[in-house]
Amino acid sequence: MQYSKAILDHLENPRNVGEMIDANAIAEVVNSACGDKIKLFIKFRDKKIISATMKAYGCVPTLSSVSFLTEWLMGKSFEEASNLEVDELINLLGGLPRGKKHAADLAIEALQIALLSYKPDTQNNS
Amino acid sequence: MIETHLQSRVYLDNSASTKIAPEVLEVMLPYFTEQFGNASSIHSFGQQAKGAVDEARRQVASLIGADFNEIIFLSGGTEADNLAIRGIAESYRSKGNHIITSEFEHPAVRNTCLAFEKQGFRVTYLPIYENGLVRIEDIKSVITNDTILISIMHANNEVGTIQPIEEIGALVKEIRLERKNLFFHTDAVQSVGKIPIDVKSLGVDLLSLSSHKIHGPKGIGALYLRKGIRITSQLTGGRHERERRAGTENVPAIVGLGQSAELAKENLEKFQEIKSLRDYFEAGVAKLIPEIKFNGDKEHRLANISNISFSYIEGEALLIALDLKGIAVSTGSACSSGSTQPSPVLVAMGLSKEMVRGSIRFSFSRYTTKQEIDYVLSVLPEVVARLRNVSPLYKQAMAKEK
Repeated sequence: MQYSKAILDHLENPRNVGEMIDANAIAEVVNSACGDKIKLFIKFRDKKIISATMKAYGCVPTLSSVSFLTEWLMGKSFEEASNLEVDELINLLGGLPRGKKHAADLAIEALQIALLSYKPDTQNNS
Repeated sequence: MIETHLQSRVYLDNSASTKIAPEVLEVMLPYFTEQFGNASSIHSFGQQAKGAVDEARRQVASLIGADFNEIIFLSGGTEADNLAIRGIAESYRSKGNHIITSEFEHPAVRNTCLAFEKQGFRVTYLPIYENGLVRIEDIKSVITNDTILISIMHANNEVGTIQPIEEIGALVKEIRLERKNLFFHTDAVQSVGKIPIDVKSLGVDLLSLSSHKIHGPKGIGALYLRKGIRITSQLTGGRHERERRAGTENVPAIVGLGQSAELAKENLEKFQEIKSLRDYFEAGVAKLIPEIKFNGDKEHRLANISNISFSYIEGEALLIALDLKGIAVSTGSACSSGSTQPSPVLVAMGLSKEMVRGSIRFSFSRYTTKQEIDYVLSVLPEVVARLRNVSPLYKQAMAKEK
């Protein structure tokens, strides 16, 4: 299976692993066909994302897509985050082998569900 | 190819394919150049080639206790399985339309049986149990007067479990005292050259073998066909291989198969030493990594295969992570287009979906060294821990334990 350098790097050095207690946008998604699972935690402050963490179970691109996503989201606004599309994520990852697009689909699904769950915390001016 | 951080690479995927032995390559080379004749030609070029093919036939026959004329050369294990099943089914279709096989077979057998189901044959797929073995009572209970073929793999390619072929062979012989047209085929692609095999004492009528699993070239294999059994050739053409497999003999590859068979025979005892290396590896894994499961019967198993399920992680991720460390293995989990195709073998053995997805096969060869195993043991725990740390399933399980 030919994976891009970026995907292999995220497999070897997964970024922002863990669950975030004070996240204000959270998602847990499962691909029922293959069993891949992603948990995504996002924290907004001052209308920008200041932190994102993840947990993931599944094949290489699933792990790498969401690991990449947690880095990419840093500093993004709600609107910028919600505009990220599957094809753009695949491009940013350096492409995906045939039959592996579902991994990026799952990562974007996690992002969209997390954004839907977003509850601004007025005290923190988020 | 994935770039690795290492100078050296460790190949533990010998059940998929093996490196060609230098002695094998050496004997093959002249048959690409100066001894290029067609083995059917009657001039000296042809006769040299024919002599080499005959010698290879003797070498292969000798490895499995067969007679010279009972060996048919063909393109590999898949063709051998096809010729065995199709050849018998088509030849003896008027005597019965029932085939018995197992849930455990290589796709070359499984998919060929499925094709015959579409042609009106009845196929019984015997269950295998947690230890990866079929039960002789199950065969007795499904065999009927319509059964013309039993095809059971000798040693499984994923877990290495060795089926009770001798017992099945004895049962077939017993039944044949009353009813002639029942034949027994075994796919021995994984076991030939790894355990002593004598087709007569196993009681098999047909046996498939392949060269590239025993340090020979790819694209060549053989079918043992017991004397006196007629099969329908699957290729029409010239009268090669006693009219059972048409097509000009691939002389260099046949020579390579012959030499690899001879070397395998010489190394049969040494091959069993791999067991201590495998056991050393498994003891190391058991000591260093919690929550794993060794798959397949502990005793009735090839010396060179270790199949392990690692809880909470996915096989492909572990495979690629190991590849990045220079270690080549294989997995029973193949995730493609958003759906995972779990190994039918591991599913048949009753493993949970998650344990099938987390399964990795490590397969050794006579070239595998202790230093290589030590390297794997030094890398594997860290890689497994890293993937488990990312896995939400691991956290859930830990929370439940608390």
